[in-house]
Amino acid sequence: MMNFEKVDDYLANRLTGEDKQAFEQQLSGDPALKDEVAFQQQVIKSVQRARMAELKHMLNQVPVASSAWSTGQIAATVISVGVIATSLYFYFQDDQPTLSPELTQPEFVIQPVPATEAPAVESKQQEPTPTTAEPKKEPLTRKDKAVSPVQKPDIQVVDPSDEFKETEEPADLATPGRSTLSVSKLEVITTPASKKYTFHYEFAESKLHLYGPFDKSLFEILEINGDGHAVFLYYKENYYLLDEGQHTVTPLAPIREGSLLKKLREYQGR
Amino acid sequence: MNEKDLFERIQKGDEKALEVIYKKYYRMMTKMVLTNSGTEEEARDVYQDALVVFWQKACSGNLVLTSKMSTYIYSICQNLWRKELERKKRLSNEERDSSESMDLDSAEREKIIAKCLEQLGETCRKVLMYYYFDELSMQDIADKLGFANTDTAKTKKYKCKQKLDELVKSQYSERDFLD
Repeated sequence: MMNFEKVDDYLANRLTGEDKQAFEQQLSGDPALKDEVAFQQQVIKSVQRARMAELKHMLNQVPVASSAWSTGQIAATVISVGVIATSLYFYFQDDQPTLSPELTQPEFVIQPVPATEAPAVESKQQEPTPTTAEPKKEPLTRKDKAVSPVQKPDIQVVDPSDEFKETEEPADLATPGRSTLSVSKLEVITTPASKKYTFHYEFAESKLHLYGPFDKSLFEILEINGDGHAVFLYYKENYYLLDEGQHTVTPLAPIREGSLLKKLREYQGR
Repeated sequence: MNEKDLFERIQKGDEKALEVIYKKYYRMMTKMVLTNSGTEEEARDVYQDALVVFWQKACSGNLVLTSKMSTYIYSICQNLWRKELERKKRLSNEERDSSESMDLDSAEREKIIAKCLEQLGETCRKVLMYYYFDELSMQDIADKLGFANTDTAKTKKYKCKQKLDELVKSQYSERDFLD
C-alpha cells in the first residue's frame, strides 16, 4: 500500500508542520497519490457523517422536557402507570380509562390541570410537529427585517440565568393530578425532575422513588421473577435496571446490552 | 457531577456525559431558537447539531474552555441558527438553491460508503468513527473499546480502514466509478 499511513495521517489532521508541507509538495507532483488522497478523503468524510448521524440519533433517544412545557404554555398532567412483568396489568386511578395490555407504545395522556397555573393558552401536543410549533408573534417582525439582503438575521438572546431559575420550579406545574400507583408488590413514588435529580431513582422503605419527567409519559415497572429477582423500568423505549439494593439517589442509565434488551422485550411482549 | 468532571468525561469520549449535558441545557438552548422564529423541531435540530460540534471539538482536544460550557454551546447554537436563517432567506429569494444540487455521483458514492461501513461490524465501525470523527487518542480508543493497549488500537484502526477501502473500491468498480 503506497503511503497509506501518510495519506491517512494527512487526512486525519495528524500530520504537522514540516511533514505536512513535505507531503503536500509530494502530492502536487504525483497524480496517482492525488487520486488516492481524493478517494480516502471521501471515505473519511462518509465515516464522519455516519458518526454525526449516530450521535444525533443517540441524543434523540434521550428523554427531555419539551421547551413548550417550560414556558408554561401548556399545562398537562399525566398518569403514572405501574406494570407487573408477565401479565402487564395497567392500573389507573378512578376515572381513567383502562388500557388494554396490548398497548405497545407509551402515550401521552393529557388532561386539564385544576387551575394552579394560568389557564393554558393553547394546548400544544407534546410531540413537536411542524404544524403545532408555529413561530411566535414577535419574531415575525424580525423575519421582515431579515428580508433585506444586507442585514444579517438578528438573533434575540435569551438570558440563560433565567432559565436556571425556572428549572427549579417545575414541581408546581406537575403536582396536581399526578398519581402514584401501587403495583402488587412495589410502590412507586414519582417526583418531578429537580435541578439535582433529573432522571434518578432510589429504593427507600421498600418503595421505589423515581425522579424525573415521569408524569409526562407512561412508564412501566417490570418485575422479573426467576432465579434472581430483578426490577426494570421501561420508559420512552428504553429499559433501565433498578437495583433494589440502591438506597441512595442514583442516575438512571439506559441498558445498552443487546442480549438483555432482547430478553426484556420478549418478557414485555414487544 | 460538576462542570469540570463533565467536560473531562466528554474529552474522553464518554457519551453518557453528553447525554447529561443534552438534558441539562435542552430548554435553555431550544428557547433561543423558539424565540427567534424557529419551530420546536428546528430548535432541537440546531441544539443537537451544536452539541455534536462541541463534542467533536472537545474529544479531539481542540477545545480549551475559557467560558462555561453552556455559554460556549449557546454561541454555537446561535451561529448555526443564524446560518439556517440566512439559508432560508436565500431560498425564498432565489426560489431554488442551485448550489445545493449536489452532484449525483458524490451522493451516490457516499451512499455506497455508508453501506460498506455498515458491513464492517460494530468494533471496526466504532474504531473508525472514534478515530476520524471524534479524533480520540489511541489511548482513549483502547480504553473505550477494551483493547489491551494503544498498539492494538492502532493495528485495529489500520486493518479496519484497509477493509473499508477495499470494500468501497470493489463496490465502485462494480458501478464503474473507477476506470
